[in-house]
Amino acid sequence: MGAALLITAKDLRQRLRDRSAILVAVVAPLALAFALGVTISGFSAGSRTFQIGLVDLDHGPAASGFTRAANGTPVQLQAEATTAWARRLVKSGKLDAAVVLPRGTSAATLGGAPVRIDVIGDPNNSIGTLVARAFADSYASYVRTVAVTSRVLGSSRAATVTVAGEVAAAKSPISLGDVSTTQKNLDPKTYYAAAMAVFFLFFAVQFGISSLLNERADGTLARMLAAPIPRRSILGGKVMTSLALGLTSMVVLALTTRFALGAHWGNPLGVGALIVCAVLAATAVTALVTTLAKTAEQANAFLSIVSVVLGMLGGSFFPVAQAGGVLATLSKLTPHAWFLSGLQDLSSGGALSVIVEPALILLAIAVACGALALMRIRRLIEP
Amino acid sequence: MVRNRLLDEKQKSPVLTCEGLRKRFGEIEAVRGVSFEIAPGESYGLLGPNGAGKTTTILIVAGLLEADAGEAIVAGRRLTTKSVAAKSAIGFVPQDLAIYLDLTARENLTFFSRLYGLSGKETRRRVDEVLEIIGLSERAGDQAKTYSGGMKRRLNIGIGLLHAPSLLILDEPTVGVDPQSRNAILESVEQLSGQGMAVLYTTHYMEEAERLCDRVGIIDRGELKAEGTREELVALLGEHDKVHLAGSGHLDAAAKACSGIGAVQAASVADGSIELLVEGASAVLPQILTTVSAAGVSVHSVEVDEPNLEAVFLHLTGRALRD
Repeated sequence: MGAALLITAKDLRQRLRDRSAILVAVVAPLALAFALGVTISGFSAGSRTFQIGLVDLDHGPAASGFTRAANGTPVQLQAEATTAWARRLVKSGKLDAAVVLPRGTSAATLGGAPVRIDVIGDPNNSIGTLVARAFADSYASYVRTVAVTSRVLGSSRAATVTVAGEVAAAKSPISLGDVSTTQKNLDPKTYYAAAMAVFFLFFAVQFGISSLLNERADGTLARMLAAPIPRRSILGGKVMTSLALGLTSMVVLALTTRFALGAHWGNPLGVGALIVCAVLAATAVTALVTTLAKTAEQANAFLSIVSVVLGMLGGSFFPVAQAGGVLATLSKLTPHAWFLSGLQDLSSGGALSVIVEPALILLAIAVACGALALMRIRRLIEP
Repeated sequence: MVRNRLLDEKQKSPVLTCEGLRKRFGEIEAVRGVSFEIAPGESYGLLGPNGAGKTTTILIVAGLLEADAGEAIVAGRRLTTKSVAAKSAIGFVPQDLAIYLDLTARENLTFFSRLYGLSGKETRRRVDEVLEIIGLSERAGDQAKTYSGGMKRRLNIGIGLLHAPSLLILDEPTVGVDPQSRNAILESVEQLSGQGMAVLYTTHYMEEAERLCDRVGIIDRGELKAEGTREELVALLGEHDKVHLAGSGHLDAAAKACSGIGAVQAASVADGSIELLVEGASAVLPQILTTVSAAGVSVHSVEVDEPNLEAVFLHLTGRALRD
């Protein structure tokens, strides 16, 4: 154990000195998590306000009703004088979309001739267009409700105005919940913090176990083998280097994104358990891949390919599992997917027991790959 | 009295005994029944060309490679790749630089010192001593990558000295080294050997083997062809000193006159010079010169070629050392 610790301490000193570990284990994932989290958050309806232009050609009470309907929604209406001007603002990106209330909209509300509300959108801002369209749809439904109610009741114009006010003020007897999506999914900041952490974890742990090949090429492995220590100490030292770098990377990223980016990782105990399991799995996978290589260069190439492919399949860049089909099935073979799945379950407020399945699967990956690696690793610990 | 006798016996017992070492890599048998011993304080050289089996033998003796057959015993303990106790008696200096370039000399020495089981206090003392021996005390805090080639070589050797081993194994430590550093390395090895450390030194440089080693083993194609002191090996050759006398005058007559001297085994004239095969040339050279002058030859230059290990190697293997 003493010799293994010496080797780990020496490795960590080297990695800290050349800053490679800091770059790969902390700086790169943090930067990407920040960039992706902030970018993707921009597209989240829950966290941004859409600027929608309102061109009021009606000049009646409909516009104020429309404006009132925007209260409490992520839509900010901005009055524009003409359709052409609104179109120009949408095209230049200053507005997400625009809605044109034609002449006669108010009259249509009170039972007059039907009108058509136009939505001006930019193909490059499909979300903004969809929001404006949904908003206009919602207004159209409101008008339809008032019109039908008035017709059924045979209301006078004054009564219809009253009905319109009542409908606008009425609370819907049905509310919609997002249990299957919002609560199960991590918010973008947390998702990408975790996704980048587990993606770069596979690069961080390489500095330990795969450095056996570097040491063999440099002759320092022969020197260690000539020392009066068992070979398992050398292997143990390298594995501990991988584990130390992996754990440090994950913990630093979890804490930094929690406090600097506002990521919500969930119950610390559960997160800690998932991190430990993920680090064990990453180390074992890395060890197995390293045993397939003959040189350090070959190992680096293999490990990069495996890390990127597993990361992509596992949902480090986008939630592949939601695509369904073969990709979703393949995703389940990656430690990344199980780690992210565990975090999602945990952050949805589930008890600690929700991480049992992902944690056990991560451990199973660690044991299976670790056992295969042990069977093959003997040839790496030779001069 | 009894205790002293036991200590003497222990000191006389070899530090290293190799008995019938064999190692095969696929179709190639790299080491074929190599046997030799090294006594305490003795310098033993394994001399042979590249591919002769020196490094494979060294790797077995350093506990890095398992022999297919035979055994190596170091300081009374059988050596295998797993024998931790036997390895603690060995200091190993590999052929290529085996140091961490991004660590300082002190960090390199400290790491390996602790790996060899020295305590923190011992480590600090030995690291300072070794830094002094290898002349790197003033650069001890600089990363090894900033050192010259010679300084790196010295650090490479220093690591092997940390735990004051009974047996220091140096595998061609001067390959690719500039003449100045080479000389420094050879001086260091002479010094260590003088201090009582047994040294196993492999080289394909005849001059190094002659300078450093008390005994030399000549190895070729995995076999130890012969071993002994330089004189013993040269005696195997059965040759004598060659004396070349360049001059003018009656060379044939002078050669004939020289053949009458008892130590001169043969005398001939070739390319304007007299060539004599002489036993112990240095002792009879004055008599030879007097005889040649008396025969009417004016001598311009005298050259004496002593038989060397290169000639022995050539004689034993039919190949030159640098083949």
